Amino acid sequence: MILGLVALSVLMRLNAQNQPSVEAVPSKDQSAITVDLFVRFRGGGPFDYAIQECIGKLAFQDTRDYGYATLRELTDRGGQRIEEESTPAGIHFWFKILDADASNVAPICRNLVYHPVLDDSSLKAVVGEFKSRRWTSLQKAVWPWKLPYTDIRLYDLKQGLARLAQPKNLFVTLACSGPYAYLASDVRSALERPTSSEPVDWKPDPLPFEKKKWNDSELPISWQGPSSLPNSKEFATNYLSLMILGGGKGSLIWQSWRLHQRWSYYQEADFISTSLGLAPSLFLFTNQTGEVTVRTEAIADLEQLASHLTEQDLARAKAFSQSVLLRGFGMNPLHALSKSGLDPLFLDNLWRSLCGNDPDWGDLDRQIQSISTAAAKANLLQLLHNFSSLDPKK
Amino acid sequence: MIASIPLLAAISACFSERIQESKVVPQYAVEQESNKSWAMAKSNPEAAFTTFHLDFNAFGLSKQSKSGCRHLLEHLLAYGEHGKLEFRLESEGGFLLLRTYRDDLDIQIDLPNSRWKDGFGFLNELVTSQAEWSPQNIEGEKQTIALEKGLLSDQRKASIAAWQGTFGDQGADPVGNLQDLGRVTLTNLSNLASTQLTADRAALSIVSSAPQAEMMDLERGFLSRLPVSPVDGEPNPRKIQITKKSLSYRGGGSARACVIAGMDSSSWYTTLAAALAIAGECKGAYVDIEPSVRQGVIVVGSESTGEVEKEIDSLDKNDTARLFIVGRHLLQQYLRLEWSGQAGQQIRTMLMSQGQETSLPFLLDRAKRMSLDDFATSLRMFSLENGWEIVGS
Repeated sequence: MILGLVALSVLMRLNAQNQPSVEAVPSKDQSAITVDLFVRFRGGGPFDYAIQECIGKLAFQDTRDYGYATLRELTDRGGQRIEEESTPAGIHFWFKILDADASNVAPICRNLVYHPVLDDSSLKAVVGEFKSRRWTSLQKAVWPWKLPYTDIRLYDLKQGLARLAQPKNLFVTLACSGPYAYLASDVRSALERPTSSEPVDWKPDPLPFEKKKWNDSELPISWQGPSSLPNSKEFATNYLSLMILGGGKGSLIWQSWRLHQRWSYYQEADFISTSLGLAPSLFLFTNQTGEVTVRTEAIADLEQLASHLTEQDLARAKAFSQSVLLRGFGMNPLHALSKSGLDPLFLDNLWRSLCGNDPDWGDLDRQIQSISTAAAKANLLQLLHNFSSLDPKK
Repeated sequence: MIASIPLLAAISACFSERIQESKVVPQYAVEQESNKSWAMAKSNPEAAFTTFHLDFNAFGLSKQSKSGCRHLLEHLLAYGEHGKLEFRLESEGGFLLLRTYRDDLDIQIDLPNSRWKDGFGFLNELVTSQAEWSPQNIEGEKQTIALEKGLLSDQRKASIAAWQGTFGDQGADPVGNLQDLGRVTLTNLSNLASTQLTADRAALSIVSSAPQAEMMDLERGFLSRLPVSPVDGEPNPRKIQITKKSLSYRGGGSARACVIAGMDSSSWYTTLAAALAIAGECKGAYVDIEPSVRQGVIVVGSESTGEVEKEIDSLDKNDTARLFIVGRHLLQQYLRLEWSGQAGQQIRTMLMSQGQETSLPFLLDRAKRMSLDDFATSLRMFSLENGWEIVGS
């Protein structure tokens, strides 16, 4: 009997691992339901990223039961047209739908994940679109890699879909009023039966990532540090370090790169998502020549300032960080994670996909406020050292 | 920061809150002071923080100041009296944002509710002190503006080309011409400050959890200390000087543009609704306007060259009724989004500084009363016959 219970508990755990994670949160909006759907990408090489991006775009354009025109009409009525993006951590869809159309929520989610229309002509069109799209400066900085779209065959897409479209990779957060709370269970049911099993023989593309070469003169210069998970000890100290570096106009990069050196009009210190977590990053946007000189000096300048970090610098960063986290000020270093900005539904999904819990901003603030000057300074210098040694352009 | 109001959000994203103005929603108290400035305050117990907007209209200033001078002034104001104003503000958990529009300067300060009264000290420092306007800081900010100019988005470039092409120098982008900017002196900046930062151009608004009466009292005190300008700040209409049907800019994408009336005209609503309806039909499209009581330019564009033009040129009579419904719906969505919350406070203060009081229910009412015939007329304004094209290269 005891053995039986142990076996049952193991089975339940296994089931839980293979369940989609679906949550509903209360919404003030009495007339519409907001849906955020995230398909976690669990790592791979350039070819795997390229496949992921194609699948996301193809699902957005057409699915078995919902074509783009229908999805657009339904979500326009809801007040937020469906959007899709591929991030380094996964595929992200978001939309709003009227309460009167609530019965479509679960089937739309299932179609987007399990039934994108994959065919050769759509693939060709999407690859053509990717090649001719225009990138914003931030997109160039967040996604600097060259991807081999033209090598993708229909077979690769189908294999890629079988790998991605598994319940354990699916995260949905709904915002709806009380009577529609049942939708969470509908969506969970709709997503728990994959259409194909995960390929057992899949191996990640072993080729290294290569930087894109941009034709125009507008270059983001970027540095990326190592990823950490949002529930790790490093995350709070990294968050504070990014606030010291780039949160607000009293920050080091504003003072150094903009006011003192006049290297850039705008510059940012942000987290970007990776398949391993959230990576602290610095971006310097400029169309000026002399990039190489700036690259060598930019971090050295910050290291110099960081070595003289004062109690006032830290107090400013903590006060500003508190306003960002608890009062909703702009300049949040998490804003570059998605085109949807700081949408709490997306952040819920991303956090659950990375560490199993929803974010707790109050707790993050408490951790940040308790960091000592010595610890903040040590982490900042270490981060700058990492930026310098992990410079992707080196 | 040079700003326009991007309406892409209104078409494809972001209608995150459907905020209905009703009796339970706190309302603004609005009053005009004896020196002609406007004070507005809204006490909202749910406000997560306090936001100040102090706006000064820029009517009649383009003739008196070199191109870009207003923009350079905006950059220098942030230095405050002892430098590091932003550092001190952020150390209180606050934030400063300044924006220059063709018809307006907007100063925004956010602060925790518990520190709301400190906002007046920071505003006072911003508008009165020139202590940090050293030659070094002035030259440095000219360099920063040159960098800013180098990073303009394609949308912004299309908009600049449309305004300049339509109104000539009267439509000049406030970011400034670098040659003119190079010649701006401390004297020019001081003269501009004494002309623009004056009571008869000003509107101040506060939204906070603080008591409304107390906010209004302190606003009155602040505004009464602003100097009164002898200069006539009436909004003279911009003259249309378009000579070419096709304009160009360096960048990607393309757009169509036409003239849009000031916000006190009913055609402002139909023109914007038509632009939103067109953009709603195209992938990756945007609408660009600057809300003002003066006549301006509205741009509908896309990052894919020819996308918007194809849509406009293929419209026939059968599309009008359908687009009317779409456009009116999108307009109402846009108004709800942009005229409520923080964005609403900014635009409302900006228009108040230009002498126009407005509110979301009033705007929604005008949007609802739009007629199909007027909408059809506005839609035709984007045809090549009536409007003009702006092409990136």
